[in-house]
Amino acid sequence: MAKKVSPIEIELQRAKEDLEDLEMYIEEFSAFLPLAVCAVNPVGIIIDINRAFEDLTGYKSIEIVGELLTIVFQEKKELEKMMDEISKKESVRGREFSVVSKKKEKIQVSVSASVRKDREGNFIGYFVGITDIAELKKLQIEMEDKVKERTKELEKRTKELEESRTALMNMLEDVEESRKKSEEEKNKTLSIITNFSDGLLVFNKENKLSLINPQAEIFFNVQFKNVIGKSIVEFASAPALTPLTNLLGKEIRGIFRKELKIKENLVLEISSVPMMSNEEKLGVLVVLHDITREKLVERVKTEFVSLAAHQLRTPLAAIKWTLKMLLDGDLGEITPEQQEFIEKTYKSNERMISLINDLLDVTRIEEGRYLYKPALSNFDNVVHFVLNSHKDNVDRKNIKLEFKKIKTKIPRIIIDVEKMRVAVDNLLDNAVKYTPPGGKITVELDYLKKTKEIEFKIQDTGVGIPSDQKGRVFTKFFRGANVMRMDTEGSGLGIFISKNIIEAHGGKIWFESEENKGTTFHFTLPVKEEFTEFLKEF
Amino acid sequence: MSNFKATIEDLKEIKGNVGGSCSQSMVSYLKEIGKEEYLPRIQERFKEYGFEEKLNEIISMKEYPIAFEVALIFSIKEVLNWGEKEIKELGRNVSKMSFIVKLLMKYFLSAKKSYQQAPAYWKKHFDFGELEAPEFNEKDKYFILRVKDFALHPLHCKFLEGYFETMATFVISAKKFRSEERKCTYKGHPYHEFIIKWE
Repeated sequence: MAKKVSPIEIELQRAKEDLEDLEMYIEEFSAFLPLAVCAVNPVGIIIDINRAFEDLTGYKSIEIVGELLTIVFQEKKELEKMMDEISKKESVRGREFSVVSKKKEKIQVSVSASVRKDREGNFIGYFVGITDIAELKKLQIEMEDKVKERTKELEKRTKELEESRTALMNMLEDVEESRKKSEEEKNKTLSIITNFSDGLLVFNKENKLSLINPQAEIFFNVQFKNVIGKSIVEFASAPALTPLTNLLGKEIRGIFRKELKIKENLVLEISSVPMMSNEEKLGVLVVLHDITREKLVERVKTEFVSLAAHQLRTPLAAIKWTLKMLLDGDLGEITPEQQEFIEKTYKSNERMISLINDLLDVTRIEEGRYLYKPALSNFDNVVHFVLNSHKDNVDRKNIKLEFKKIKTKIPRIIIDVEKMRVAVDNLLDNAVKYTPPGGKITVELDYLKKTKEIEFKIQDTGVGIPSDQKGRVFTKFFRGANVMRMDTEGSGLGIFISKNIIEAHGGKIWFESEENKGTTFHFTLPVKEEFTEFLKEF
Repeated sequence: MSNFKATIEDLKEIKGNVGGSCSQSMVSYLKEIGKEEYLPRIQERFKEYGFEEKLNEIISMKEYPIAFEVALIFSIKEVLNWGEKEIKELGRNVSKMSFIVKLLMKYFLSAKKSYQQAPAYWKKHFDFGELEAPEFNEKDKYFILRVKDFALHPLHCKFLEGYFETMATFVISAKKFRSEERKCTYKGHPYHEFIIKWE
């Protein structure tokens, strides 16, 4: 007979089965849970752990259950602090700890814990959940390191940028300072230019006017705004500027102290100078120097000299003929002593007449009315004539005079023969005068086919020209200091006259000289094929 | 074997029952320490003692005859050739793995209170025998448990030694525990007396 089962036993059996199911559920849940969890009793002893806790700490359940929680949480003070906090708040979240595994490895974890209570609300322990944040911490540390590194980099970059900024600011300050200085310099320069007594024109690389100062505006009666930026070709339309444009040419050629009559009562001396920077042409500076007053004074002086010379020449001629008559005995017998005195007086008078003639030549030159009779002539005849006229003089001083044969045929040339004789004569006269006895004078004549020029050269072994006086050789009344000591004769006008005659023929004259060794004068004359071509020069 | 078999047969005559929790935890412990491969042989031996229950299907809440738990201890000892030391270790670890123990932890609020609760706890596990808690000496760090009317086998006494020691670890914060059966019915004493000391 089967035992009768009471309802209570049935109920108990059901409860046991439910509890059994619950146990299985909890075991499965605990095994599945990825969060490491342990149950801790009120005295801090671990009473249960799950699979994740075993995996994290390396402890098996049988190894760690019954052990104090401090077996893994070795930061005891921190743990106690957290336990106190849990007691008060009943739970804490995300506290960072390090747990020590079975292998004594420290693992960074985040701990959350909550209080366990029974049905009556009595405290019966804790649940402690542990999340391995080692990777997270590592990542965090790496991130922090990266951030630090980046921060350092940024700080470095910032510092560099600040340094660059400072350097830039310094540079800007320097630039600003330089700009101010440059501005000041520019203002100074402009002030100088503006107040300069000479007229100034500055042309840029394209030969367009970039600057004109007030003085130049006055000279040409133009206004800055009307001419600035215009090329010299465009100036041609302004009548006041026409003489200047003719002189300078389209390319603004270099000229030095060329006189230019702009209008009545205005004569300018024009110089144009290229402005260079590191061999690069920046433009051209044209300097306009007003020489009207000088020219006026010079003209008055010349007129005075001319007048005085004319006035002197008549009595000197009378004296000459009277003395000649006395010397010829036309006015009666004279004693040898009288003869001697009168001859000396006659020579002095001759020198005076010669000086007066030279002065008159100078005045004619300066008045631009010196050349009378240009004609197609043989220049070598001129040279021969002059050489022959000095033959006696040369022989008397025992000077060897050599005329080198002409290498090529000298073409005929349009010259004022009489004046050209004067030019050559002055050069030869000087050579004879200042070459000591026993010296040598060499005259050469040549034709330069390439340049179509006749070249004349006269070389002596004379006293030479002192180096410090060479610059004044072609000026009026120049006489070398060494010459003045040895010979009181000479007006100092010969070379000046020769130069003017040669230049009036379109030629050039120059010299080389060494004191006590000798001097060589050269001049060239252009061979003009047509008479009209020659006349263009005048 | 014959001695053990006779013991089991004698125990089968006792009416007392025991919860499956301990037996279930023994199986779990064997798995935990890597002895799972021996389970079939243990199962076989267990069957030889007259128990057909599958070891992996022991239910913690179910009550089994007292011979059931002792037969399992004998089977484990015989198959694994364990001595008293290993059986005591088995007792130590069984309580750590017991679901019932975990549930009962709510009673272990303090060492002394837990100690006082021990007799009641015993009754939840065994429906025979009696547990007394005569002395808890916190100053000298020991307590005494007496088990009366409970004679299974001397080997089971070793099991209890280990079991009581672990229970002490759950309520007392100490580094070292040591339990000893200083009186035993098999040695002529009127009861089993266990002293559990800690340092």
